[in-house]
Amino acid sequence: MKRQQRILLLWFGSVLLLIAFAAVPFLYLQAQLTPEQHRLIFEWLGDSRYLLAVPVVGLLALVIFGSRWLLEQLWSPLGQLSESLQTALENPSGPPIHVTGAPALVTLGTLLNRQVERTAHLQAQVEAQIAEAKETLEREKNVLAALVEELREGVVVCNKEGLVLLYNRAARRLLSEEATTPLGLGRSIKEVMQTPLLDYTLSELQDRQSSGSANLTQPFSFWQGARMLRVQTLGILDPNRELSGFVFVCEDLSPRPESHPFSVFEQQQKEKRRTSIANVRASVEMILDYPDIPPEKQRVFLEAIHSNAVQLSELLEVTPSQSAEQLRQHCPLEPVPAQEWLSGFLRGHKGAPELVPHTEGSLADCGLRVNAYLFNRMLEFFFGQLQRVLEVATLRYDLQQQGRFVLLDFNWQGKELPANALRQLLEERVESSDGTPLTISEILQRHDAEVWFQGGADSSEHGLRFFLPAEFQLAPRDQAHLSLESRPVFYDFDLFNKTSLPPELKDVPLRELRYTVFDTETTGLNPSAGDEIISIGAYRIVNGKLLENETFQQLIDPQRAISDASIAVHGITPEQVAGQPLITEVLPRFQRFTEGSVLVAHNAAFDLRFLELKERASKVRFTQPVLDTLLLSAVAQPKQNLHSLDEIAQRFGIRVEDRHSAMGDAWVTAQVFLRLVPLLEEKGIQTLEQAQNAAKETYYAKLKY
Amino acid sequence: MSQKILIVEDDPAIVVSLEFLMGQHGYDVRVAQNGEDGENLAREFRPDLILLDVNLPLKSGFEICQQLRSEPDFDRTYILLLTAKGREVDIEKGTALGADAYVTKPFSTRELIPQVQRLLTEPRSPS
Repeated sequence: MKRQQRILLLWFGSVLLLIAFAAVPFLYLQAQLTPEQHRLIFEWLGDSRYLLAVPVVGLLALVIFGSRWLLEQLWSPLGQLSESLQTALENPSGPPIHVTGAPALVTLGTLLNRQVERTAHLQAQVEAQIAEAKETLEREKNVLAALVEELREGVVVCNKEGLVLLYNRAARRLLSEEATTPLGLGRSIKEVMQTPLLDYTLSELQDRQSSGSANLTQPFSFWQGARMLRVQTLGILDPNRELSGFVFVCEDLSPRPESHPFSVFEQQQKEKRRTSIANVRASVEMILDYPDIPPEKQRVFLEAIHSNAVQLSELLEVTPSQSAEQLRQHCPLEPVPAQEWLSGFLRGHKGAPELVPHTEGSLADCGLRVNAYLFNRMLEFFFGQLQRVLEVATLRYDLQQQGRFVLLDFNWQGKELPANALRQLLEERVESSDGTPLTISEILQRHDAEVWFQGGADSSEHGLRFFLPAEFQLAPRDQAHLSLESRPVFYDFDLFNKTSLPPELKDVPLRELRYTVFDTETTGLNPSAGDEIISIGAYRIVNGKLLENETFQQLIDPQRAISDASIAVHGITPEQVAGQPLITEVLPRFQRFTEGSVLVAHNAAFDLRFLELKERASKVRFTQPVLDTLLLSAVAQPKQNLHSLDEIAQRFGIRVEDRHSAMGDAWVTAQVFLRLVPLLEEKGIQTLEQAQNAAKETYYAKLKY
Repeated sequence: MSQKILIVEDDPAIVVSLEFLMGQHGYDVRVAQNGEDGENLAREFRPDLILLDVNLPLKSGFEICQQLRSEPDFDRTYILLLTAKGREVDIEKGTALGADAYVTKPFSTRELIPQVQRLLTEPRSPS
């Protein structure tokens, strides 16, 4: 019941009671006295009989103001106090309880605050101890995660229901880029790997396990969009030797782009074929184009054709020579960002000649495919020669990208190297990491690289230029991903024992549901009058955790003006949304993102109205259950009057950043929701259905958009 | 006086065709079968154009190209590299070392002749 209603009821009751009290002696006298006595009393009282009303009115006023005082100073504050106390006990380190009203209550609030503080202190101590114990465990877990994450192969771990518990960066790249549904924790692997081979493999492994077979690995290959993926599947056994999950190791089998170095053997074969075909072609063209040539000359051409045809036939039978194979083994190449390689090389370079940067232009930001050990030794070998033969003391280095190549230059002032020096240097050998001597020429061949000296006799500047293919297939790296502390959540082994959610969600506990918490920004506040969505931001909550990495973020071109009032709120300008995808393209993608989850939004009715109006155009309908943090907050804290996102966030002590952006608001809403769940549980609201029913009953549910 | 072409190529099977072809089109042709002979013959013969193979015994076509380009005497000589290396990196290298054109094997003699003729209509301007 609202405060106003309570006040009215109290007043009304008091007035009735007073009238009743006043009426009793009056009616009694009425019954006891004769009409004559009545008249006498009236005459005796005269006009002063009205004074009899004074005590009645006074009493009435006393009751009215007294009850109001009681309500404002005791009743309301007491209610708020009990709610605040509940919140404070949930989160003792949150903001202190603020009590207004009667002095005794304020004192009570102060005492309670002191007690809450003490609780917070004790709790902090216990938490510190738990944290310490957890840290060790976490560190070990992080080492595992780091290990898995740095693998070039994509790794996905699922429970036996096929729910994803862990995945690494490579898996996300290999599986998500071409998939309609992104890879995510708690999602089904079957949504991502859409191939009948998956079901076949999983049931095959289950069969093998139940028949007691020791071999629980099974590979399969399938096309994921434009990629050919090979997936090695392993069954995981629990201590009772029951199948508890699967590990998928994915490898990209698609042919590499041309810039990748092919084998030295292939290159040599190709050159031989080109030569023979050139010879045949030239001879044939001579015979065709010059029919008058004398027969003895013609015979020379025919012989050339024959000998080259023989050569071509022999080429078909040639297998890779031992040396070409050896080269592949002793000089394996690894992709590395060009700048990362360079800084590693500079760190490792000791002594003379001194290496100084060439200041022009910026360094190449593509990658390289190198055997850093051999390549660096080769460079040091060249430097040694330059120093010994030419007495070069300083080299200026430069690393530039030019189209599909990387130019690595080392320039010096002074003497020039003799023209035949390079040929001799190419035959010199350096040792690989396993001790095999390889010639410079072989190392360059293996890297698909070339080298030459630059500069003329009239200039005193000379240079050594290395030419290498650029590598563009490197997985993007961000700095955060390199530090263990800020490692993103890519795994959740607590999901191991969870099964897929049943289609009937209503009885599932709130804690176990998966949620998509979202927010929209719009051109204005009136969807029915044609206002449109211009931005959607969403986070996922799985297993009670906010997944900061699995987000949906999209600007949308509304194809209409954005009101100035709205721009003032969210700051999104027409220029920013121009050329962005249309809502009809975005909604199907958003729907796939929300698949299998309950939608959560603050004041969800507003956002849903927008989505509803787009059902026909986008052919997308959001049919999953919806929870509204505004309503849930009113359910969890009915005595609080304000349930705006800012007010709730403040009550819970949630830091608010980037408010009024779809992502920022979705984040705050998610944090609010995570804190509401335990409060709802204390009120006996455990399941989705209970939460929805409770929300429906609240006053705010009557608001319509 | 007819224009002079030097062929530096070690594979006799293509040399016969090239020598015959250039002769048929009225050029004064000389042939060298290895890198060192090729460089020496270039200094002696002073050709207007050199058809230069890259893979040569004793001295590579790249080396000869770079050497001749550093000598002002050859400023007016066109150098056309012939090679079976079909990689972009080789074309880049050839161009960087001063070659005027780069022909990848297999090529058509029917296209090579117009290319040579086109180059030789104008004297080369030194870079």
